[in-house]
Amino acid sequence: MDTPIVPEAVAEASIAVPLRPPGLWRQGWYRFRRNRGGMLGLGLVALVVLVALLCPFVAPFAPNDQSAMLRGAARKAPDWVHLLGTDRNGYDVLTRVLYGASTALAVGLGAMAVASVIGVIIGGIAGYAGGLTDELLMRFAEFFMVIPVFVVILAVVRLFGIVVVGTWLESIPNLNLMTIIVLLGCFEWPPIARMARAEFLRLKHAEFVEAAICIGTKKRDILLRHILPNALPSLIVLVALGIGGAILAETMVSFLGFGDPKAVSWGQQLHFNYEALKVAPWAVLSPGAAIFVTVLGFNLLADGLTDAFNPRLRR
Amino acid sequence: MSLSSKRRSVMKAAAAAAVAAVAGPARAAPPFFKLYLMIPNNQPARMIWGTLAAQQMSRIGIDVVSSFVPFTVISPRRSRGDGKPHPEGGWDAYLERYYYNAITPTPNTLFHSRLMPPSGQNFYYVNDPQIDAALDQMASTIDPAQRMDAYRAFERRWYETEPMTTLFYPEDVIAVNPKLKGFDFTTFNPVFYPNPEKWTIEGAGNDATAAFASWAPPASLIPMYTTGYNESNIFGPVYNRLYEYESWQDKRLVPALATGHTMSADGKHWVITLREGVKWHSGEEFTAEDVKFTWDTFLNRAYGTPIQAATEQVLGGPGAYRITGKHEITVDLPAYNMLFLDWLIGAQAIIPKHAYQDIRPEALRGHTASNWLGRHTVRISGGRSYTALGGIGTGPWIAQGYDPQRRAYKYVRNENYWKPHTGNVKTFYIVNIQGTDSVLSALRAGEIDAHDPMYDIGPVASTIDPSWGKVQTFDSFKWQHICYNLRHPVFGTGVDTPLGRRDPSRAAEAAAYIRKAISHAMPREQIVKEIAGGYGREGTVPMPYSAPEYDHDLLRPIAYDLDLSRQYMQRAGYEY
Repeated sequence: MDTPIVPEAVAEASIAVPLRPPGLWRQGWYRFRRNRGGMLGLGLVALVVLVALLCPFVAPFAPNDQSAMLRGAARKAPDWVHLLGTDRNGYDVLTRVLYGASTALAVGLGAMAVASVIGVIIGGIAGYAGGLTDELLMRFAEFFMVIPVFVVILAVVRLFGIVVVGTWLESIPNLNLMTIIVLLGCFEWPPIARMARAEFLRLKHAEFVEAAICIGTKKRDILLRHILPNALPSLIVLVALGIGGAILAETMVSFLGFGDPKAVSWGQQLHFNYEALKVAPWAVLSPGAAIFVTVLGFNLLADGLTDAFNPRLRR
Repeated sequence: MSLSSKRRSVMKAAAAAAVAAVAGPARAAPPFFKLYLMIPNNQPARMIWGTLAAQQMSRIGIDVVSSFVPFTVISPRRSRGDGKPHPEGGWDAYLERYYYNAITPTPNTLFHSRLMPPSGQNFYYVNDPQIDAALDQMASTIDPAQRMDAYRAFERRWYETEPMTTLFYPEDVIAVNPKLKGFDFTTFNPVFYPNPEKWTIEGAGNDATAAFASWAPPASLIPMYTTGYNESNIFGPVYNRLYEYESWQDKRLVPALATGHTMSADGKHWVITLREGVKWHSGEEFTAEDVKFTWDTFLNRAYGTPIQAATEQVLGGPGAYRITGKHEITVDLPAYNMLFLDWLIGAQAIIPKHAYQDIRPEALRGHTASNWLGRHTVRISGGRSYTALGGIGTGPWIAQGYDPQRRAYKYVRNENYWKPHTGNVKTFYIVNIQGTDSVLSALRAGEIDAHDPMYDIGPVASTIDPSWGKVQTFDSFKWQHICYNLRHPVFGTGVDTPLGRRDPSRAAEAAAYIRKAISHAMPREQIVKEIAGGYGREGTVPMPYSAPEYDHDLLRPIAYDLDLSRQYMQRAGYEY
């Protein structure tokens, strides 16, 4: 009598529950792991996130500590006390660079969160509803794309700074920074909306959506449980790219002297120190390198995600 | 614990952490009061010491809301003239570099209680009877010893009450083209401009072109409308004054459009003789009519000049002067006033009657003569006309308008100037360049030959190679200060301080304690050394450090002492 190789119970189970093919996300992760650039980006982003989370514990000084100025050690070259030196303000450069990571992430993630919500809602409605609604919403998106974002940010930050004086809004910490975040979000949504529209347009005719409609699934569930999750991979690529862009935008606003005076920002470090580039280069090169690493990280990550979720684009 | 409740706990903790991060750790004690500090965003070094000043104030219990703003935001707030605090559209405090409108210190043009805005320049609402008395004596006495006593009295009172926090006296550091000779002074509004008629560019022959960098575009190029560098750099080479300063080194007044004057023993009666044969750029002859017209416009409120109040203080009114000859004007002052010679005659440019009299007062600011954009035609004697590309003066340079491509104002040499040009420059440009780095790059590239002192190149002077830049330093006759709205209920009048509320008669004293507390919280020595690159001296009162009027015995540096600061706050009734 032959002895079965596979125990009966197991064999039955394998027949009853066939092995599920890996899902969209898992497939993406398999492809992403093979992308060296993407993994490097992920590593850099993880490093920035880690720095942002740990900066209160690892920074050698308080972010607003100007004591170096008071003891005559501003613009001091790196040494054992100030590993990256001090800047013109008397701040410890390393401390400001570390704290700047949380500001950069807050700006990048905050702005893209706002942009994503607006973009997905508008793009989703446009793509799913189609017709005149689609036309109107897409023209609306194009209108936002031609507005010069920087001019608007500079003007609104200035105006807002005047309007909030003496109101409860003034008590909100880092109000200027929050204004910049919201404004960046309000002007970065059109690309997301266009992508969301395209995805919703494609997916609403997919078989699984039609099947869901046939069994009487509610429209809300179709949108949120069937279409949106399948559109997300493409949108995440855009969001990751946008984070780097938003960080750069805030840096530019701060570099021009319109940032939040109370926020610890790499752009503001550059603003205060760029004229001393030849005298105290460490005060400029350090935040410059931090910006480079962060933006590069998010861009490589976005590149990797593109390869992972839209492999056909690379072929 | 189920997976969902774990997730919920994690989310709760994350939310709590986010709230804590946003709200910050709990403060030990609430601040005593809020102060809005405006920091002009056109000078990075000032933004640095402004940020430091704000932080130092917060260390003694003041909630400082600082903002980086262009001066165009500050200017309308301070010029309103109603003394309202910042939340009501006025202002609380801001940082400023300031100087007098004459080489002889004239605090009576800035700090007298008669000179409140909008027609006067006491933007700070200094209203102190002791200061007023000192300023009146300073202005009205002919005796030099008594005048010096008045300066001392002014300085003593200021030093006691500190209506402003004078941070330091900057030194002007200017880099010039090493081939440029004859640039032996700093620019100082309104009496020293880039004087390219004295410049020689070595090796450039007899037809040299020179350029001077000035930070910001001007607001108006009619001299009476401004006390700023941005403007005087540009209109200065076109106009003349009755008297001018011989050199920066000796700072001595010598006749210019005037040839001399006589003064009665009581200082009230003056006869000024004017230079004959001087021509306006239009070819019209300069006469006493032009001097009268100039002073008439100063006094006429319809023109809206900020020097109206000071002129009225000196002259009393248009009845004080009369033409007594084609080249002679006689003045009877209501009382002797030092400002007449040192400021009105020595610092205010004369404008042409034939060219500007037909321009409506309210239109003058926006006219081509004021903005130099385009051309305007004026009638001159003999039925002829002259087309100008900017302001019309008697000065050594004729305006050729604004070149938007180059962002520069162009001038050509006035060959009919009443005084010979001693240099070889025939064409001259004033270029608007913003930023220290940019101006040094322009100098290195040979695009400019010199620049005004606003660039604060001191901290980077060590990076200038002698092959492309020669560094020159000058006593600046200026000071950097934090100025306060002295009608503010806390640090201005003091009525809202604990001491002022308890005893209203001591409100002003309480406000002075707060200002002194702030003053002692300022690390002046470090600001000079660390931020100004060592080019400057610690500040005490608004008086040029190198002027003879500065009392070096009395005005000792104000100590940086946070304990003393807190003691002053306690004297004003605040408890730590």
